[in-house]
Amino acid sequence: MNNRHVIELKNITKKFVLGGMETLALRGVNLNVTQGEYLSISGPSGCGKSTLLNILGLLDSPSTGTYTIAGNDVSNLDVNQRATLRNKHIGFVFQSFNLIDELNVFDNIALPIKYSSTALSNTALKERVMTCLELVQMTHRAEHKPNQLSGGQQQRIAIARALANQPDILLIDEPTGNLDSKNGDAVMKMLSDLNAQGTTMCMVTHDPRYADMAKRKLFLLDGVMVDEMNLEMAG
Amino acid sequence: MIKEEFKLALSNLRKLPGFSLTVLVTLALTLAALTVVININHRLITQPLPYPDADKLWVTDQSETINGETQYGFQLLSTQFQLYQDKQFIDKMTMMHLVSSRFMDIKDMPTVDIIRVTPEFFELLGTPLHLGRTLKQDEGVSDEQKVLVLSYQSWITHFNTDPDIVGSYTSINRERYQIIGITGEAFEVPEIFGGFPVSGFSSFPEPVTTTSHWNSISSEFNGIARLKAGVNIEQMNHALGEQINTLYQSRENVAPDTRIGAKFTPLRDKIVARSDELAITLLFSAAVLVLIALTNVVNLFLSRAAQKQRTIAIQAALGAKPTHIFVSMFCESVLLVGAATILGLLLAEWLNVWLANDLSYLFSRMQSLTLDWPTIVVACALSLIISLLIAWFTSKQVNYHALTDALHSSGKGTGAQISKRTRQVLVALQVCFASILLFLAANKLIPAYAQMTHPTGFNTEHLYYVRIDGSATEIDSFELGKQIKQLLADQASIASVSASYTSPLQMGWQNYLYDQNIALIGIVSLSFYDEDGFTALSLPLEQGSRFTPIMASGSDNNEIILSASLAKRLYKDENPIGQTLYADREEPRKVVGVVSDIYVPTGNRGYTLERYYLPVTEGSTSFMIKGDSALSKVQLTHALKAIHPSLNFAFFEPVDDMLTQRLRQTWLQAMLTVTLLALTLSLAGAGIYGVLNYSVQMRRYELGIHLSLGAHTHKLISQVLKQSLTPVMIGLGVSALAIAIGYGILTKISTDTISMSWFAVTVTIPIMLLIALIASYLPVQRVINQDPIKALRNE
Repeated sequence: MNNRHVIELKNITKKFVLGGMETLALRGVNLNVTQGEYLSISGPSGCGKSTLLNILGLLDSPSTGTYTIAGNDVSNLDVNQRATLRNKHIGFVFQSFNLIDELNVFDNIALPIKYSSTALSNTALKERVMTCLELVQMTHRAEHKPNQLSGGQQQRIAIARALANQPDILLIDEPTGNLDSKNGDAVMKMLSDLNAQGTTMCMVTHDPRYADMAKRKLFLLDGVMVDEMNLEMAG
Repeated sequence: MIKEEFKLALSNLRKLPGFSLTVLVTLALTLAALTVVININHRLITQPLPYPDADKLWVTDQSETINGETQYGFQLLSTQFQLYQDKQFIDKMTMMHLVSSRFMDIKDMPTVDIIRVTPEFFELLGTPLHLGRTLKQDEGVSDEQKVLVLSYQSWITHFNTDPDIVGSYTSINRERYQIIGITGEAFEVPEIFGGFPVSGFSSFPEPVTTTSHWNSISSEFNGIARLKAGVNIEQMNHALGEQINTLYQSRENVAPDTRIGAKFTPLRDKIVARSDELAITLLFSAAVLVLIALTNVVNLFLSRAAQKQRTIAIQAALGAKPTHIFVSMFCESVLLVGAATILGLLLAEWLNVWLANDLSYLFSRMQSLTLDWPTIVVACALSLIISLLIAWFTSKQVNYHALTDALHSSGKGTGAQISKRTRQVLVALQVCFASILLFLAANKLIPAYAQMTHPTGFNTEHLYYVRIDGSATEIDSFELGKQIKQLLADQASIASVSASYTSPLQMGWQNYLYDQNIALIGIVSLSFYDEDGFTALSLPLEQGSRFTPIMASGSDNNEIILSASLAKRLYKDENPIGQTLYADREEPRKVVGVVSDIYVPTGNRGYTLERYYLPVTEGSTSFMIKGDSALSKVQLTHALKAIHPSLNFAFFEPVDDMLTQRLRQTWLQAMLTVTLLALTLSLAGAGIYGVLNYSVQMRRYELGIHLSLGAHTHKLISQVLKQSLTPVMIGLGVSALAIAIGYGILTKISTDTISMSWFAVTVTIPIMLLIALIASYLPVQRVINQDPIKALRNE
């Protein structure tokens, strides 16, 4: 395994002020994610899982601490620079899929590629999208609109979209939260397969069954990383 | 990328017919109104005058100062000739004399307007020719030649587009003129005398010298001059003014304390000044309309942005930069604004056709009012700016720090919304803009309405002013006038007839009036009637008696009748009857009567109440006829033939129609203002409703809780209204402040009296409050009339 750190968090805190009251959602979180890792973060509701994932995905900023992604310190980046990093290095899979209803499957997957600074020809774009669709076995649904697909299919499309720019890491937020168990199992298997092919993944889940599928498990409680079980090491 | 964004925007807009249609209609109506106004303004003000070196052309106006009071607009022909000869300041000048004439060889002998000009007229104005030639140097002011250049329109209307017309002769009044040319179709006559069509340009038929026409002072004389390079206008006005005044003072019987001067006016100012008020009123109204429409549309797009927050968040999560979001918003706005522009331009062109008819009566430049390229370019540029502004403003509302909320929400009832502050600003802005416009419009409309509905003081029903052409008869004019009057009076349909030189709606003459010591009282409006004049007008005689009939040509009864206002000023509580006044410093006249004032609207919305009346002493073929019912021109023409077969009506017009024509500009301006105002208030009302409705929808869940806990509806209504009316009151307050500041500045910088109607204030506040109350009440009423559970479930 390549030991290059895709992500490095040092002493990250996140403070929210609600109604004049301060709440510390993350309290000094340290985390390194190595290329090719499959990491799960679990914990009870309100422990800070989603906050941590949002910070990792550059959707939110930490109150203090240092965050490095693919060697870039993101502390002082402006909106555009953060968008570029997000586009290039991160793939996001949301619990509620977050596909754009007005676009068909193909255009949804093509969207991050179009936002990329590297212009692709139409042929290359099509090829890239179809490759992503093949990975999630959804090539036959390319022309469909999201609302014509089942939840499981939508989540697979969301995974394909997350892979479109060949990111350094996939951030996955409760991927089975809106799925029945059959579809959930299928999605989780797909994620495992992707990791086996070398995709780095960081998944937030409160389902211990799926958390166990990750090779490295982290546990958050009240904003603090209280436990880490490296299954690979144990194995 | 752009192509896909447009495709996506189109697909989105098709799914939002309510939003799309509202924006489309709002902007199409606004852009149509704005385009028409820009078009009119361009035609009236900014379009270059179609003459070579137009900026170097000046109109040779004069001033006349009597007892320290200066008036403009009347020129002496002889002093114009003096200016015409100047070589020190003037490079080239044309003299102009407007005359109302008749084409005697044409069927019905139409009365037309001809301008007598000197040969320089055509060169100075670069007059294009369709046929023939212009005046030669030996057809100038003193050459007694009788040549005529027809206007293109007159050639078509009166001469059947005869291609062989050049070289032929036609009779104008009693003179034979040779037609030497036809002006080009595109030639626009400079509107120095007014915006009416001119049928031709003739030479001066009789010589003019510096002493020949001293009794002719009229607004129908003028000139256009091209000045020599580097001329100082003040110096020139002073030097030439002194010259013509010296000439003026050297004649006999000059009124004391009277002097004339030169007041050269740029041709452009002379033409544009007439249209200033209309242009500025329209432009201001349209600008406010645009501001209100923009506020509405921005509000709609803000709601749309709030609605799109989740999609935007997804795009941002996938790496979209603010530019991408801006492009996405821009695609939607440009599609809607573009469609609205096309619709607006079509509507504007239709409005132009409708307006051209009315406006061309006031300004001949409006005859071919149609969308021109500069207007279309300005409209398109404005549309592009509006699209960019909307996209910029709405994309700025995207909260990149709140993206996670949108991403993790279910998509229904998201936290994304327009902030309360933004909503309050939007309502306050709408109220403020609409109040200012309403106040200013009311300030204009109230006097306009008063003028349009003010009784004239005399009875205009079945009252006609007629002029009979007796030029082809050999009967003595006094005798002819007497015979015609008798014939008309004998007609069963006619109640009374009076000889008169002018219609009661014309000011007649502005003439001197002297007291019993032949001291000048001032220049007062003068009209001529015979003994039946006030009977025909049904104008009450307040004191004394009417004129004594004049039985013989040239005799005079030396009587004078005053209007009530003039009598009051001159004699206060004294009895005016029997007092002596002079109209010409020679013949004393006894005041025999005082008649009620007449209210004839003038250009500045005032009335000339001070008048005096003198008897018609010479033969007149102009009459006021009072009918028992509507009169038939055909029947009366037939009756006239009993006196002489050549007699015809040169002019036959109901005074009511003349009054309508006189009020046409006021009416047109009022109608345009009311239309724009109605559109503005509708848009403002809809906009305020939209924002307040949104605010209520934001509180729907909270209202549902109150209702479920048993809150009384009137309490909830008053609570919501209180909240809704806060920005309305702020808007009203800001508008009052803006009006007060504007009034303060204008009264300081303007030389004109700035009036402010308190009635306008009392109209503005209740109307705006009513609109706001309705706009606030409707949404809350809808929520509280539902079952509380629907609000709680956000159904």
